Amino acid sequence: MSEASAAAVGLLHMIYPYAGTQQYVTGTLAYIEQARSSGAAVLIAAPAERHDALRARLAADDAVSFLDTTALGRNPGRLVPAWQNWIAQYDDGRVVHGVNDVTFPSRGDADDGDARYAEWLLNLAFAKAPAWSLLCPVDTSMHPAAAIDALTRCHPLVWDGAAQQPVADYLTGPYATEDLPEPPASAERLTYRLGDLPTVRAAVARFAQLNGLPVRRTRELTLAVSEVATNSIRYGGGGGTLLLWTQDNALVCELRDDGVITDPLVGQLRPSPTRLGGRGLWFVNQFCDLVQLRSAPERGTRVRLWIDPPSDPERTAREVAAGLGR
Amino acid sequence: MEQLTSPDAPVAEVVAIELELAELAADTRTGVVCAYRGALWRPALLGDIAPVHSRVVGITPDVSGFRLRPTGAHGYTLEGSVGFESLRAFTTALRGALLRSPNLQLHCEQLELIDAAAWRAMVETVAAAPGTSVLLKHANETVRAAWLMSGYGDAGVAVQVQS
Repeated sequence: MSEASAAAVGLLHMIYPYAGTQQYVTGTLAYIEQARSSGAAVLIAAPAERHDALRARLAADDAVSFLDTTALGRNPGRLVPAWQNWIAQYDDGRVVHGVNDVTFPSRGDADDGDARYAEWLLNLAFAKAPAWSLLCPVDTSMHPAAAIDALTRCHPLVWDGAAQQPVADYLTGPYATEDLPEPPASAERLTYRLGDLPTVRAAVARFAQLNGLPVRRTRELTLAVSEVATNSIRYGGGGGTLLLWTQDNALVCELRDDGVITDPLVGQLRPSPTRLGGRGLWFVNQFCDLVQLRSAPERGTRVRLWIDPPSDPERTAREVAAGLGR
Repeated sequence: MEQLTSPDAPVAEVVAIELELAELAADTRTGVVCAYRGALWRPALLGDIAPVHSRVVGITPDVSGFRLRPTGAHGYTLEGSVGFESLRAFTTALRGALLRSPNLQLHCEQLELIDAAAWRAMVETVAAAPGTSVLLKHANETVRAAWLMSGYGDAGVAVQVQS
């Protein structure tokens, strides 16, 4: 066992399974105090009520900052760029120790696997980054044991409330994502090639409007679908198939083609301003509430985009704005 | 149009003539019909010049999802959706407009969206013409958000997007 010290390079990524608020506060504070004693900067991304619980026990200084998790919205695909943004704010040489106390609203089986996958991708995304560490508290009373086990295997380390240990069955990769359930037979279906992109956009806009999506969200969904369809045309055999349906009040658009996407981080990392191209799936992740990408040789690529019902358009606007990193 | 230029002329030359005509029409509030005899002109060229007209009628199908045309006094409008399927036409129209108006102001009240490939095309087109700039005015939230997300503005590209 060792203390929560950062590696020479890359991310020390540890899960902290706890039961109850008392254990959460005690174990998280132990991690924070160890970080502070080593001169590190601490960033806590947590719901507002957690801020109060931790702040009350912390000495007031500039070593600990609390973060607004609005940027993450409902899409686990924004976890990597959010932390990319947050740790980039520290350019004073201090090692960053983060607390990733973020729970994505669940659609049940539809996306639990994608939230776990987003955690696993952090290891990949920051493998060559300057050294930092990230503690991911998870309340064991809120999830089945199997879900906790699966989530634990996405972290190379586990925090026991006082020190870190390796996770024996950590998934080193490649990560096997769960298959997507088949769309309903009633899903609207449309095949497309290059000249059909305006038709694709019109079909998505009509589908969105019929289902009561506000104008701005309609445009965002239309743009997202157009980007994925463009990828089909450019890299997926010249065309593909679009399916549209609603599920649990959400609007779902799935695009299928014969291409294979090999980069697990595609669309997950903020593109460098000087790099031309590589922004299509980045836009998609920022505009959609969930993006499920499945791709394999012989099976082709399926990209399933979710837009949640327009219950709180103002909140969505804040999420998109926050996602810009401004 | 074959009276004004050769059907073998480069598309940029045809667009330049078209934009000049369109500016004249806009400035004088005159309607102009640009007639192309289908047998003489390449279909691809007709597709590329369609977006600089307010309307297309006739035997050539109009598949472009956008319009970029002068509206008088060196103002231009950009309307519709600029997507990958019309990249060549967009680049051609943008180059032509920048030749006539190096500090191009595009009024975007009727612009729906610009996709990632089209943003790249715009950035490359402006970068390839030193001294030029593009200002998109009255752009909707989605266009503005996509521009900010692209990050191109942080690279000092002479493109601005405003509400």
